[in-house]
Amino acid sequence: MDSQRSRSLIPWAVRSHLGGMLAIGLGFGVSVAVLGPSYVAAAKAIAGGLQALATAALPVARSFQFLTGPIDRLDTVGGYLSYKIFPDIALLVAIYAAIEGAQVLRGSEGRGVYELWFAAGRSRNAIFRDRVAGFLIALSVIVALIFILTVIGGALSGVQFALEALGQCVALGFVGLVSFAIGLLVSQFLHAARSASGVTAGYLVASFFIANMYDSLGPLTFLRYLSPFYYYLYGRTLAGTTFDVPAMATLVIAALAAGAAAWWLYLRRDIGGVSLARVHRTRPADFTFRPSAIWRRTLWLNWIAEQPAGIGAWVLAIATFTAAEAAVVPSAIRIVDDSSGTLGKFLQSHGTFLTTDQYLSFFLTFTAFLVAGFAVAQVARWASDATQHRNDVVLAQAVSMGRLLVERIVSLLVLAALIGLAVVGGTYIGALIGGYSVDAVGLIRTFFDVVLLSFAIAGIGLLAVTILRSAAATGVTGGLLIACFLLTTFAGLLTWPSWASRISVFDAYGSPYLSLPLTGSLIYLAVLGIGGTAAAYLAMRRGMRIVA
Amino acid sequence: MTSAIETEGLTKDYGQHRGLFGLNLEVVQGEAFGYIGPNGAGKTTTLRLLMDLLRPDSGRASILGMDTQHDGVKIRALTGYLPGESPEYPNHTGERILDLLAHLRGGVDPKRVTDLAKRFDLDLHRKYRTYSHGNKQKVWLIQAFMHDPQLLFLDEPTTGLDPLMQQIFRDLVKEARERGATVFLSSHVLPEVQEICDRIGVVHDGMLRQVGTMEELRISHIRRIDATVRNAIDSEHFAKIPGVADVVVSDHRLRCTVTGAMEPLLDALVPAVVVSLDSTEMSLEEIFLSQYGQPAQP
Repeated sequence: MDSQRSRSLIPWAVRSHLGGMLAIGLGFGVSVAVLGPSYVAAAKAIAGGLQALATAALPVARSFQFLTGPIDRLDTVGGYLSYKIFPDIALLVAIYAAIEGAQVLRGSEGRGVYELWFAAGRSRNAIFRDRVAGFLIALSVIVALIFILTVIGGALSGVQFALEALGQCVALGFVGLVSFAIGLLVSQFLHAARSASGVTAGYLVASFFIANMYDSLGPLTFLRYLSPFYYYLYGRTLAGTTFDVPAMATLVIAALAAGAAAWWLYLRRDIGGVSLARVHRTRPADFTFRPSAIWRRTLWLNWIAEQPAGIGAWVLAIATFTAAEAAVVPSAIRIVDDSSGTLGKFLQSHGTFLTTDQYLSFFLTFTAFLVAGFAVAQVARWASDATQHRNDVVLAQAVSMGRLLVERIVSLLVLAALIGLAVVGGTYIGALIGGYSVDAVGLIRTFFDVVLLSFAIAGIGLLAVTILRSAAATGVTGGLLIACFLLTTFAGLLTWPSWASRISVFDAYGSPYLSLPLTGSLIYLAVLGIGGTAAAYLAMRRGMRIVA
Repeated sequence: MTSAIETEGLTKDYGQHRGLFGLNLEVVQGEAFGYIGPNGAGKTTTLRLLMDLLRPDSGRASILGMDTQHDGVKIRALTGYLPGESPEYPNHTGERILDLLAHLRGGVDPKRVTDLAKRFDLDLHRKYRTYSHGNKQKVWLIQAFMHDPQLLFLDEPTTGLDPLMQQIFRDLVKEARERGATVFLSSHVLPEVQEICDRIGVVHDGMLRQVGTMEELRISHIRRIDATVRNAIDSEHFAKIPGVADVVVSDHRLRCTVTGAMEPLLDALVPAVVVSLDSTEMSLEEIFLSQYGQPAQP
């Protein structure tokens, strides 16, 4: 009877990672391949070449150490890539791996897919093995793509560093591996894959900063040992670091330990249940319906009330990040002042001086990426409202399509205001820690710019959800934002015309703490928000697809 | 009699022959109308068009005298809708879901919700994700009935319900009809349609094939014949008789179905000398299977 052996789930599992695998591998790979030659081209344009460029850039780079980790060998293409883009890649690959780790078992379980697999004769062990193997293949493809494109970028820059690139990409893969295993482990304790993803991603972001700035954590420096990125720093072979086998072995052992613990728990818990589940005492059934006073009377309030943990995590993460940015401003300025003075002299020769406001304003521009992440998370919620048929039952209660859209925007604006307050509060606390005062008007400008940026992204997302009515809408919105980020990055490096970068919402966001963005930029963001909402409404009226 | 539902050439084309095409239908107020058809026939599409959750490519529909596209909100205020696919609210209790929906609708009596929860034996204070399939369905049934609507659109209402709860559902429909409500019920459970509905529409491949009362469908359709005869008979001869189908002859026994008039068959049986003859009406389910046994075109 065994003439037809049951097929492995691995090909299916790999297919489920296909989009993310190619987007991340090719997206980051191409970015690395473009950055190297761009750096060499910029160096050729100044006297002294790479050495002079590295000397000029080093003080500024060091002031950003909390975002990039140690900076070495900026006079080489490998050192530049290791500082400029590999920290971002390591963090984002880790977050992607953590989300996949939370999804591979818990996500399929939540959708009821497992019952079918069990019914088809698959064992728990087989499902675990095939799903893990599927991700390992996907991760290998990501690492391979980044490696190949890094080598190609090196060749285009006139350097050969295949072995160094291999070392760094392997370290990157190990960070992904351990992040995946942690996501897998955390998902054994939580019912929702989204919650497990959030918890793991939060841990990874915090550990990223800990690894980069542990030497300023005082008695808490030991926390670095809990950060995968700390061990990754010993694999930055592109920057001349020797590939540290014990550090890499630590990552692999941690991944194996977390993976084994997840496997052990998975085999022992209920399908659809959680490890360490609380046993509720039996109580008599309660049929009584008690309407709430006010909290659930409007959709927007209800949507906000639905996500207290998610909103809390975003607010906390953004406030912490902003506080860290603001707190390091004085030390960043000191680094610049204590350096060879190239930058300081350059600024002085132009009659300007670095001020805390300038530095703070520059740092706060990074907050835009977190705000974008928050807005995309809201778009994902809207998409799931459509795919999980919640909109149908809401509209059946005499709610118009227009009201549904307006309440979506209202909920987004209220949450964006909360995020804006998190930015303002974080900045204020950071400035207190750093021992300097902040400009109240600058903070107000920043607050409104955060809300405006969120509104613009929401307009794009609302239209995408209305037309696509699936999780693809989240991908499209996220993809457009990544394109905006790359546009902002490369337009400056490659000296493209200024209008090219103005398409980017991040460029339009500007640097609001120091000065109000250009009127055109403000109008552009407002038009995206209003236009996207209006287009979504028209798409609904025309019945393009069902409802957002 | 005033129309509760009226459609003219209502069409929604998804391509590849999927969707709904040229639906002309009238359901009068106070009527219970059953809507049956195989999977993918266009039943759910019809309900979603009537609820204005989908917009038609052509044609129009009116509910209680109002245009579905222009007065969608007013119509839905008077309507109870049970969706074919259960929405997911994994982290909400049943009470919280109903609370939101009752507030959005307005004018819902909390005692009515409590009464419905008691009748359906649904603990409102448990998380939705802990409900069984049937209990999830009860949440959506309660929200459809909680405001005593004038019109009920019910898509596969008894999915997952045990026989006792199916009876509760039928009681609720009966009570709704007693106060004058119109019921539009899409279902695969044909005995349920047979029991509840005054008229039935059969939809297949996106087109409404037949509409009529149970009696009309039975008269215009099929009876099952089982006859024992004394003399030998030829199956081919019987197969050629107009209206006769599914002929099976074994020894001195003839089994077949007859659509329409019985006289030609009875005349043909006379030479064979009939010993016994049973004639039974086919149930709606049997009629449905005999006519639409083939799966719908993809």
